[in-house]
Amino acid sequence: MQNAGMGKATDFVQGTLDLLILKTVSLEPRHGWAIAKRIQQISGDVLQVQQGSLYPALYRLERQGWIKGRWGESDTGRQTKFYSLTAAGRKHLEREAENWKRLSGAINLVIEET
Amino acid sequence: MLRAFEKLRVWLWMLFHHRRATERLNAELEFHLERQIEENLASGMSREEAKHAAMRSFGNATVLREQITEEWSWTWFENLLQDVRYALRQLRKSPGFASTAILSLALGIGATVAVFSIIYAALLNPWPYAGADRICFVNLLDKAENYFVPGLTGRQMRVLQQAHAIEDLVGLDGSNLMVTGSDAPEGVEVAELTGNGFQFLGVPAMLGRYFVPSDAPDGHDPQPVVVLSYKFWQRHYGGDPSVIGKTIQLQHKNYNILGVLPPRFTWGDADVYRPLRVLQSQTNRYTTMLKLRQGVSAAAAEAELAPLYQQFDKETPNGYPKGYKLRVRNISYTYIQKLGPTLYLLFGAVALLLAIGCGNVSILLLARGMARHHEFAVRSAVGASGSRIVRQLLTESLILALSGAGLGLLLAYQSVGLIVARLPEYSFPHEADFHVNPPVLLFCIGTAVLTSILFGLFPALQFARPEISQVMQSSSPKVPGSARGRQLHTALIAGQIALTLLLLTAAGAASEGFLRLMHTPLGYDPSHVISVGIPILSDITEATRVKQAEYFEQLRQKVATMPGCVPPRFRPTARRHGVAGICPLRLWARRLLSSRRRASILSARSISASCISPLSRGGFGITRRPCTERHWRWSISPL
Repeated sequence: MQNAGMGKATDFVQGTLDLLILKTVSLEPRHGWAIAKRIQQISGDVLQVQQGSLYPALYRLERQGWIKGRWGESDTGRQTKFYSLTAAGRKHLEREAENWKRLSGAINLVIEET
Repeated sequence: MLRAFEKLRVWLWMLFHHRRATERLNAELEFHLERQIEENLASGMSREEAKHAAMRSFGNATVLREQITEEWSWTWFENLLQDVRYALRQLRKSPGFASTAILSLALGIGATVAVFSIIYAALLNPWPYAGADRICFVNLLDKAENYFVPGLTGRQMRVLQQAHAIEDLVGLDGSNLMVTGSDAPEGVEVAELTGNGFQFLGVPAMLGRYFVPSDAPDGHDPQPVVVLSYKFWQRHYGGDPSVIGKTIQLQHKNYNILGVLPPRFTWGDADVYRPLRVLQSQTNRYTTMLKLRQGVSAAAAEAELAPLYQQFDKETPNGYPKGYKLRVRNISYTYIQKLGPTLYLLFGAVALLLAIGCGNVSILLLARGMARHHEFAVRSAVGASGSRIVRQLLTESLILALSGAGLGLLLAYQSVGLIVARLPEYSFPHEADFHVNPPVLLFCIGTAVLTSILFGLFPALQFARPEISQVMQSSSPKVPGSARGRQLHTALIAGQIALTLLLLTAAGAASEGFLRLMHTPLGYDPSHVISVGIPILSDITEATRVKQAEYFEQLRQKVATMPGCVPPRFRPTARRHGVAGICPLRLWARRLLSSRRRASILSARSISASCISPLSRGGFGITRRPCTERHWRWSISPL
């Protein structure tokens, strides 16, 4: 029972994290660290992405063909992997963002009901 | 589409550059860690502190790496190997179960595939000819349902050709000729077809060409051309491809060899095919083979042809049996009549065998699943996921099913040859091409594999999420299955008993049929009797015929003086309206001989000649259809 509950929670978080990652790499190619920092920064330190979730998510998204990893040099001169959005990923992002807006709007409506 | 390609590329890259991918992942994670340390340092921590804090926030790096690499590494393959090894160990631990299941499947698959392949090759699709399902003979049935194929004169054939139901027709005849002009004379069976015969049958020549209507124009003597059968070509010319265009001498007449037919073309089992010369007279008749128009049923053709044949009957008084019935029958008809019931019964029996095999495996798998209830509970309790247990069971079932199917395949390939070798020689068309039928093979293997998977997974679906505590607490490792499981089990056992009874009944009916066949009164006693066919030459002079007669009398006396032999009798076996008109005489001799002596009689067969000696009743216990003198005279008269 406990397991099943956790599974559901993870699904929810996972879907959201995917959306955040896709959005973050949609503007320019970024490496893992930069993605985590960017999400944290934009969300005003509310969303802190742990490596334990970030990297599996990145590799999963890459395997699904939404993002593409390219080996490159970071600003500190070290080799690391940069992720960018693929064309399919861009469409996927638009769809998911739309879904998210609808869902969060609906939740807001319910919560803010007076 | 592009995305699918990209996905495949990424997956393959990771699969085949496993080490490089792992190195890169490590570098990537290390880069992240360093940035974290740098950030911590910037916030005023000491180097040591910064490092520890970063490591803490990073969590368990090994688990993280495994989590990532599992997806794109060979892990799934390693798991599969592990599953296979485990499954093999499990099966080896219960050899009785494994061998019963595998043998049940193998027998069912092998027998069903073999018998169906034979039915398909011998009865459903034996002919290489174009539109074989529309090629027919007209049969006239007398009151006792005996049929014969009436011969038609050239004029009657032309009348028949006008019928709407008929697309085309071919006149057939045949004779036994002698190859002359070479060192040793050799008897050949010659089939004669009207010029359109090969176009009618629609099988292209393997070498050279076949003859066409322009080689045998209406009302003229046909060109002296022949087409060789594959067998004769191999036997007489050793398969020499340069024979095309050469001549062969038959009965002192030269024929131009036009071509060689493919091995499956064995029409009339002839050695040589030559154009038929249709003589325009009232007495020369030819067997006629029809091809119905597309979409015309046999009944419709019968309705249209009946008045024509009535007319033909009037033209030749006493030719047709009184009150005959006309039937248009496909060339497969007699074979289906003769061999069909036996083969279909056999097929029913082996299909039941397959059903029983599948039933066996289902019950065994189900029972085994229940017995292993405890094992699954334990594995589940120590952390095996439901999908992992399902995969494990699937592997086991598949190993069973595939071993059974593999063995069945082997059995099928072996038994097709064995069964065909035991079929009576003339019970199927010699054109038939026997081989394992791929669609049936796939169907049978599919059935077996599906059954195994279905019933192999049944316990998995039931037990993949067992009430662990309940099972663990029960003292016995064998927990009775749920009520539903028991019901299914009972239903399966009942079904299997029913199938087995059905199989027994079918087998009983089959053996009774065979027994009846064995004890059918033949009208004579076939034991100790051998029959030696001697072809009669047709194109010979009267003087030669007299010489032949003298020779046969000598042959008869010679055989009669052999110890252990009663004097042989001769009888013509050709039916008056026989298909090819080849009329061999058969020499009957009581056989009480050693095989060596039998061989010396059999060698008489190579002397191609005919004999004149009236066959008397009795002597061999021949009581039915005795050959009367009248009959016999007809048979050796020139065609």
